[in-house]
Amino acid sequence: MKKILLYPCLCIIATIGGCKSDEPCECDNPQELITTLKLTLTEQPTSSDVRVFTFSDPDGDGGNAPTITNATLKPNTTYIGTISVLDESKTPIDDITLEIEEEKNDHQFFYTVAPALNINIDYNDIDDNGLPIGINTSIATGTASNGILTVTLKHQPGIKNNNISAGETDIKVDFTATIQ
Amino acid sequence: MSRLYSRTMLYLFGAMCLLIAANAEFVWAQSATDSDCIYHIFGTISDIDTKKALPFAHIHLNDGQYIAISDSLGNYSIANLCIGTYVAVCSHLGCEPIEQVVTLSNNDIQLNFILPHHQYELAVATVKSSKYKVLATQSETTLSNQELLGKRGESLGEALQQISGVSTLQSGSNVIKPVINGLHSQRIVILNNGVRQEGQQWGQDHAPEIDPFVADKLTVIKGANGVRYGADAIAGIILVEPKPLRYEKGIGGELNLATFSNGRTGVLSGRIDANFGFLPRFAWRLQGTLKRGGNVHTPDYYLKNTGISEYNFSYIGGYKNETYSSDIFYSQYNADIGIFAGSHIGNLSDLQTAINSPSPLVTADFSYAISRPRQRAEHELLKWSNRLKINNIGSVSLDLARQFNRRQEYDARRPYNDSLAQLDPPQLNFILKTYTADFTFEHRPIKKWAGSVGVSGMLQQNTYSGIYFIPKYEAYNGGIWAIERHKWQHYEVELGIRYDVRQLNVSQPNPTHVAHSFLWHNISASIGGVYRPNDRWRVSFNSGIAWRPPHVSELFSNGVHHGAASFEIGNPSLQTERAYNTIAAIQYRNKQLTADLNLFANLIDNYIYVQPTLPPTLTIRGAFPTFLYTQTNALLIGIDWSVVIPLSQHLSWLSKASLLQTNDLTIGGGIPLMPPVRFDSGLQYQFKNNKSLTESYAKITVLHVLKSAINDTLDYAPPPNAYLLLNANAGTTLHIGKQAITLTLAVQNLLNTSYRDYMNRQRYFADEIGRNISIKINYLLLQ
Repeated sequence: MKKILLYPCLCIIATIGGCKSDEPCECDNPQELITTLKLTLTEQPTSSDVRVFTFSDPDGDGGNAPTITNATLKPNTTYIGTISVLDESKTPIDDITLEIEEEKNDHQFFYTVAPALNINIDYNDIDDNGLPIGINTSIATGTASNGILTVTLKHQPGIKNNNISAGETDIKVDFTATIQ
Repeated sequence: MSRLYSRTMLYLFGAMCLLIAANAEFVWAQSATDSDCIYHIFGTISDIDTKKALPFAHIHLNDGQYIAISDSLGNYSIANLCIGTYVAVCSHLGCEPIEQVVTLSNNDIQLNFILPHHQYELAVATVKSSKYKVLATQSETTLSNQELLGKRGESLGEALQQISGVSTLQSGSNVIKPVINGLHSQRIVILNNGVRQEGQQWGQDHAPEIDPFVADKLTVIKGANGVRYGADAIAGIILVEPKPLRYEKGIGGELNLATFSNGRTGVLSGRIDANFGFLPRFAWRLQGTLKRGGNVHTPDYYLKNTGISEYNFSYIGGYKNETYSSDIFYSQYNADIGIFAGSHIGNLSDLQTAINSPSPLVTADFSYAISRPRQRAEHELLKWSNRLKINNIGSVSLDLARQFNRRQEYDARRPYNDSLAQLDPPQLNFILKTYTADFTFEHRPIKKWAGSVGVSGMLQQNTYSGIYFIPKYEAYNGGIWAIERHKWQHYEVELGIRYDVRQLNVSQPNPTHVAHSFLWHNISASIGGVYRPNDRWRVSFNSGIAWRPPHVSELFSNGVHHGAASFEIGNPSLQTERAYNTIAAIQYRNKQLTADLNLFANLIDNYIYVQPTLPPTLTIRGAFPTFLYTQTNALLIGIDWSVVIPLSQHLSWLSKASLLQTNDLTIGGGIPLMPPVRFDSGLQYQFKNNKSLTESYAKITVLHVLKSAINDTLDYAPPPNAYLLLNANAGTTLHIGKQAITLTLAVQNLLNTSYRDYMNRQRYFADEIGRNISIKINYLLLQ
């Protein structure tokens, strides 16, 4: 049955009740994807050496597998860690880090270090309630070792309490850190 | 009211009833042969005031050519009637006689009489016949009147659950899908006023977008129904039928109010039917429903964000004359459904934490607020149906329909970007448009065969915006079918055959943009028989072949299914499913016992389902359990029964059961996500009718659901334990003049038992809801 004949005939009759159509335009449904997490470590005090951990999934969930770039760190060194969250599916690339910072009272980055890995991570930032945010950290490496370093971003509106179990997981990435 | 006037009204009413009934049957003048004299006119005679059955009422046809007397239950039956027209007169000592004209074509007719004792009361004769008659040899169960009134305000899936063999697949308490003999979603067809409901029904968390208040009658027909309704109807069909339009002058209507304690839900629904004197051939109806509910409560805690908000309306305009009738039906359904906040869990580790926790990690108090995660479903149906009777040939009908369905899923995560967050975009947004055309020709009996043939077509278009889950596609369907029946004295044989062609054109964007085109064509067939040795027994069997092409979601899914905490991947090389479904129905009715027994065996070749696969899908939110669509050969066998045994004049014992056994014929073991065995038994007490209160009853039942026997090591958690629920219902109808008010009090889970159900996908995260007390009021204005 050709819809050309059917659609206007019936829809005219049905306009009393309202005929549903595609408006607003079905193509207009902008989405924000979190595609990339970067953990940049800058050596202290000289700022000469920079190491980066990257998780990148530019086409979003599924599709091509994500790319993880792991970094090797120097032993017995202190680094300043900076988190960067991006939406690389857009042109130009959208930086979401600032938005997360704006909502700092509802978010926290947690760092989980495997026991074999000799790393110590301290928070360098604080939200309005005195709880850590985790965008800026202080990372101190020990002796040569390797293991999993997990970075988790939790969305905890109204329930933030420096507890990794509360709230929803927006980011959870496992990096393999090597100290040598 | 003078005798002449009441007679005229009766003739007019009778003529109208005849026209309505003749949708499925038709009139022609023909001399009947002996082999055409195999039909029955039967029914029940009751008293209009006491509503009790009237024994020893006299019924005669054609001035005494045939005579019957009603028995102690008010029932009568006249057999060996030939095709033709009859003037039926029913009389009883102390009552005015009532006359009704009926025509027998190729079907038995049920003709009930309600006799008045007083002159000013109008007697009523009602002729029953279903508009969308399908195969007569299948197992058919209808819910109407008391059964339907008792479930007003609840969803379609919940209302149908009282039929043995029908259960539900749930995602929380607001998303309930009907399951017939173990199969659901894309394997059953729901006919909304005769139109195949098309609304992303492939989704396990997509409930049918139908307002049950539109229906006056809900029917479930079990068995392969591919012949009449095309591909997909492997397990059965559900008919949602509105009340026939009012073609006698005046106004009628009803008002429904329902409140539920759990969720503090309120439902309001109203219907108005009108026929204006200045346009006697036209009939009009307007109907609407509003529903609002908040967070539901398990015995121990509230479930956060489980509210619902729904508004629906429909209208019909109809025209009818002696040979032609036409009506336009429009309905709209809009629902905002809150998804339990503790169920949109992401990655494997969060899932494990949630499953291992005895109560949900998210807690809440009561609230009507619906926030993310939530679903929004909109469905619009516009239908134009036409029926024309052609003398000496038969009748033809043409139904045209357009459906618009929009489904939006708002995940828990809102965008960080402020301006984007303001827009509040849904992550998934599907728009499905479906156009259907059905042409049927019901021919007058040729030799001894009665039946119909038809042609149907469908055009469907799916688009989406937001994140990809299933692709854009266009589908075209064409089918041609024929059903024929032959009747003898005690036997009836039915044959059906259908040929369908389906074309699917898909535009898949990821991983790389590809266009796919599929073409399927297949035959559905059915053979059945009914044996009716006497008025007590009815034995039928039906064996059918049905088929189902893989759905787009099974071929091309690629995304996180939040409601299921899984990543689903489609398989483009899936083959067509083919089902061989045999169902036998045994029915026994007498004063001592009412029993219905169904036995079925359904063999499905290439049964499509999701199977867990490794490795899990890695996303920025962690690793998600991953499922791949695959096929196997499945065998489903089962027994359903429904028995009513009167223990005394007022007290009856009720027993219903659904037993199902499933086998994966390829890898052994059972098929996951199939309903476990259930028994529903209890006692019902029927009070005596008096002048103002009728149909008063009290019922108490125990529902016993067994633990699923499935041994699915790949499931997130083992099936929940068996449970027992105590339910109670009571109701009565109050008559004030011509008006009737029906009150129903129902208590579900009277003992506030804590339990989980295997067929609820939220069972990993939370218990089922606790005690739910509901009060339903139905106010019937006139008729």
